[in-house]
Amino acid sequence: MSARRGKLWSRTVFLLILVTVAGVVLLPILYFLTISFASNYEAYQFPAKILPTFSYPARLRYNADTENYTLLLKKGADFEAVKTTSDASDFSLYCKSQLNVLISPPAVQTLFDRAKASDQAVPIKLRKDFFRNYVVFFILAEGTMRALFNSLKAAGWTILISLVLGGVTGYILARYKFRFSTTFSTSLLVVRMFPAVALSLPLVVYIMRMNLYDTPFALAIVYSVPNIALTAWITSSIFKGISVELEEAAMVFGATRLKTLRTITLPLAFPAIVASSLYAFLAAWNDSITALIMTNDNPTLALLVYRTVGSSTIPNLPAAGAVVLLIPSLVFTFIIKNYINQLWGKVAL
Amino acid sequence: MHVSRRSFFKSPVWFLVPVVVYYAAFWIRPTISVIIESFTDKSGAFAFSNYVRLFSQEAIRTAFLNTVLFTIGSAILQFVLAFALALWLNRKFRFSNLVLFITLIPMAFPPAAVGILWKTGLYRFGWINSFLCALGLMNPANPVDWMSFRNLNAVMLLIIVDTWTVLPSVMIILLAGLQNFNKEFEEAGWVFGANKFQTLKDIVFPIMKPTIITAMILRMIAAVQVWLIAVMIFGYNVVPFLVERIAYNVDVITFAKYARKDAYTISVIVAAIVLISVSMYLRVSGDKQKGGEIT
Repeated sequence: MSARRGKLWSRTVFLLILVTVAGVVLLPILYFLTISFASNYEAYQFPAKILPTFSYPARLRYNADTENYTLLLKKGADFEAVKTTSDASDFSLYCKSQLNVLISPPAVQTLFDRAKASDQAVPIKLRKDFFRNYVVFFILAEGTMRALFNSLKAAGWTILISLVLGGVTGYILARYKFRFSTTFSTSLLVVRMFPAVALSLPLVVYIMRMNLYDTPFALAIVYSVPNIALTAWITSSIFKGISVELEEAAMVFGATRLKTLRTITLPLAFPAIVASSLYAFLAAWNDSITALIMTNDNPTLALLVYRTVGSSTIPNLPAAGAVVLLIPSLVFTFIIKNYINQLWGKVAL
Repeated sequence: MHVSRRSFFKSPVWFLVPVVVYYAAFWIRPTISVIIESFTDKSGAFAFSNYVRLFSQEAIRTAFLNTVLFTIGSAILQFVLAFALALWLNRKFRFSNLVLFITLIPMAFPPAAVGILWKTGLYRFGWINSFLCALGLMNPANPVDWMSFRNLNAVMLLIIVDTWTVLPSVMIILLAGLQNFNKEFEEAGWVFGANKFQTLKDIVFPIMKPTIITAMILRMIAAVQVWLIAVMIFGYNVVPFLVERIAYNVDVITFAKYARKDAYTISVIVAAIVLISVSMYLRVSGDKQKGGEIT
């Protein structure tokens, strides 16, 4: 009896922990996604909804004494008057900017006529343009697309520099023992952990002298500093795992060293190369302090998102930007997740 | 003689030259120049005046204190939570893989996205208040304005926000340690009559110690560089941190007389803290693992 109760008890505690952990992670994300789809009107509604809405239950009332129309939106049990106007284009503009509803002035006029014909408020359906915030943030706002491309360019250059320099270093460290190899790999570790701020600040001077200030390439130079080291560490451990005999066998059959590298070693090391590229991408994509220091008119997406938060009081637009910023990070982090585990000595997933 | 010279020129070490040149140009040179900058005054003579001026500023002293508080607070909170989570997830249950997947999600958030996610929660009409109202824990007529928090409360709020994102990365390190851990040691403890808590304290903890220290030092290195979430949630000057001061000097008061010098000097301090942590890390990990293993 008591054993069963104990079991029930531990099951309850277990479920409680499960729900708490899942809730703490998922609830903020769910609310955050909803906010990114919320119109300005919705962003000021309190308490906020947990799931995004697709349309507003609304009513339109004709006020005979003042000859204008009032839009009422459902709030709780009753309806709240949000906009009173006699002008169809004014009404249309309000819908667009505050409600994320795209409705043309002639369409508004037909609604007005319907409301006028009826002696009480007529129910109307206002469909939300669901991706309006994203369209505004990325297409209508100036410079967002350019920032996105800057981020991609910086990431591309970072991957290229890190792979070429880091990959070669990794190969040499894996295949040859030389006098300072331990010192060399230790210093790589130090470089990897060195704070980016302490580098970006003095580098600005050199970057300006090289005429590269405010370019994605200059950012890539800084991002590559820790990433070359990281790539070297990742690839060297993989190269060590590829047996030297395999390479020697290829050379016995007459392949040159370069050909062996191309046809045997690199294909085997491909997963490590992909993983280090994704690491490099994430470093460039997520950074904001280096971009803050080293750019002026050409910010990266992360920096732009950071700046829009400062300039707007309601966070629905920046949230839309952040969701786009988040997607590649999420995908790539989960691709390399198994690598993180391997680096830490294999967590079975 | 002839052979040795030839092998000297054919040595594969030559392939490392580009990397060494890259690091000389883009790591060593800027590092040296920033150190020199921080120890010279406007005329270029050696002086401690930058450090003296820096620490005579109220905001910098607060930034230092806040950074220390933040680092210690987040390290303690994250260690306790991450260890508990890792122990929990380590005993396989039916959906443990799914739960592990869910707990790892916040790790993937870029700092800027974390800042916004929490800003959407912390403003007066945000989701935190909405959720508390839905649970009946708060009166909708009188919501808390979290963003008006100041001083220690604000630092604690930031510790919670930071914990939300970095907990998975601490946990994954500890979980890896637990999975490498030989179950038989634990069983031996039970055989000798130790209870769960005793096994944890006397067997699991001591064996896990290097992993724990590694995870904590890595966290420390990241924690002293906190700035973005603080600025995104509270704005500049509200909760000063060391790197926040650098960003402030570079982003806001760019043309102030000592803005550059101050930024340089703080960045030397931050780098020094990080390097001390790294050397501690090297000492710890050197005992545990030998070369080639990646951290």
